[in-house]
Amino acid sequence: MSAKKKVLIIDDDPAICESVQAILDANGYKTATALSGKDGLEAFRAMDPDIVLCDMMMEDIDAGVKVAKVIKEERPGTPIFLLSVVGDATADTVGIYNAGFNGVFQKPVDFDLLLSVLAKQAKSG
Amino acid sequence: MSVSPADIFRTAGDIESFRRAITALEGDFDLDRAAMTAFGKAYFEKYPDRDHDRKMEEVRLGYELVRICAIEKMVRGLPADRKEVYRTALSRPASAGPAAEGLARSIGPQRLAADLALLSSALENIKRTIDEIPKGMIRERFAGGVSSLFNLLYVLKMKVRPPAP
Repeated sequence: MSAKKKVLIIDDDPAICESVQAILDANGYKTATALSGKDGLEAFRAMDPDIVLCDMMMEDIDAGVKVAKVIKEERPGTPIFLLSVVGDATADTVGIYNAGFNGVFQKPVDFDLLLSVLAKQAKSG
Repeated sequence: MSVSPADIFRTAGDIESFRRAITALEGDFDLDRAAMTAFGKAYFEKYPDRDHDRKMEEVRLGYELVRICAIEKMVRGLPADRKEVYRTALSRPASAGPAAEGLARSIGPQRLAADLALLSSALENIKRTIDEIPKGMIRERFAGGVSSLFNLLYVLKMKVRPPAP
């Protein structure tokens, strides 16, 4: 049996972290959560996840971009997906697509789609 | 209806006072686009946001205030004995799974599925109203607030429709 894939969830809303975690845990992933970009980077280094799901607006309005840039510098092969309502507030002001995100999931998240994408990433990883 | 979350927010001393006042209305309060906008303005008057070094507790408070209102609209059409179960399940992520399992046993999967369809429909209506608000921080706070409710409905539905192996 292959080891569970590790997913790090970074979001400033504990309710989002816990609910996404519940869904991914039930679908066979090993998860960890962090409530800020800063804590997320610490968790990233400690956990060495296979996949990262990251919010945009946390301690800074563009905190997700900063997280993505650091992750792409430290471990360029780690897929990082944006989970965000970014289209509602900041789409024109932050460089989502230049920051190294592998994809964007608009909140509220379509979990059937997210789980499908994660399964593909897990197979190719 | 003339009761608005904005007025209640201005007079409530803390989030629990706000929760009690909103819950006591049994869903009988305004939550259309104008009410959401007025609520957002009242919230940002008290807790102005900024681009950097944001006050996370105030941001999270905003999400929670939105959820309190949304949940009351969602459970409005349900019997009283199940309202409280869903209030808890939608307020505390850790309780969603056990709540669904308990409901599946007590009311059966078919009635649970019907409840979840009603809750989903109400939440979709709220989201459509949020989408009418112009892009900006008020819309962000509402959209962010209700996002976890969609997630928790997914958790509840997983108990009706187990995930594929």
